[in-house]
Amino acid sequence: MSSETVGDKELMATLGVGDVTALGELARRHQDRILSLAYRFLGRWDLAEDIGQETFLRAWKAARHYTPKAKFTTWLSSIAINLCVDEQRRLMRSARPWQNLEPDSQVEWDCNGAEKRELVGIVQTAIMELSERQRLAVILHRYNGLSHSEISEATGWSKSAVESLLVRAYANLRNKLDKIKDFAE
Amino acid sequence: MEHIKDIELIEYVGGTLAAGRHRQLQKHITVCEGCAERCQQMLATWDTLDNWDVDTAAHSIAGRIETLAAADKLAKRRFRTDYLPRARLLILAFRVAASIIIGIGFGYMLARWIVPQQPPATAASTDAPKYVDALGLEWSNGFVWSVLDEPQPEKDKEQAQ
Repeated sequence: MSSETVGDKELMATLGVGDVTALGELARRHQDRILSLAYRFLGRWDLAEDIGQETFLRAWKAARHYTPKAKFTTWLSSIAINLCVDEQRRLMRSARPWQNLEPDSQVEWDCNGAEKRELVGIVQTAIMELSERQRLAVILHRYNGLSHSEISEATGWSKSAVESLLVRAYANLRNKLDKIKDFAE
Repeated sequence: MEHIKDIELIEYVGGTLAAGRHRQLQKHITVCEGCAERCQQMLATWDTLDNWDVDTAAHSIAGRIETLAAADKLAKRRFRTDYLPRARLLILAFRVAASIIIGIGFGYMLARWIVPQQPPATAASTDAPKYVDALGLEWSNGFVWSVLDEPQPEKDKEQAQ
């Protein structure tokens, strides 16, 4: 049986009995999702990598007692979300007025041309300017493809709170992104 | 039909509604100008957000995680084989030492209980001056005369000798 055919829950069971190769396989499968979530939320690759690493190491520690109640990806996302929120609060506490907390430069993006880079920058800034909860809700919904129920499970918020946050977040984004209507059309 | 709720409009644009509901909303949008405009705005926002794609290829962490996990497992194994037996031996030594200390203490207490203590040797004298008690001195033997001004009676001298 190839590793691709083995489900995430089976890999967690294997990891639970001490086979660490299963951890590498899980990381390969889900690192994109976790890294992009952390990067979009925190805006820095160094922090996103740390969060990604810590997420999988925590999953490993929890493997022995892991009981699949929700989808594995939702459970894994919930670990990453908690770490991201903690990190964000740590950054806010330790921030000094003269420190630059701007997200990583757009130079890292694989964009074609200055126009595209500018567009990405505006979208990124619009999302980063949202409140912590609205930003998290939009990232999970729009980019990680989680349903309202899954966002509710991953964050611990009620489903109605998630829906309310999404409506407000998309309305705020619409207002912020109005200035780049020309790009979108 | 009522206007489409904001949250349903988001899901309609995202294409995550059930097929039946999607068709219902589609039909409504064709006849409701207000909802059609809202739908266009939401679609524009949705598509603009699509531009922020993240390339994680340069930030792979799978290899690092495997290395960390393998190192941790090795450290645990080394702890089990190298340090754990020594720690167990140390705990055993402590237990033996504690047993010995408790045994000695218990034996001492038992000996004190079995062998009755001798009362302090005191020689009572009937000729104690009355003010000795008032001074807080014990009338036991001839030593008290050394601190008193009065001469020691001959009877007490003999008794002390």
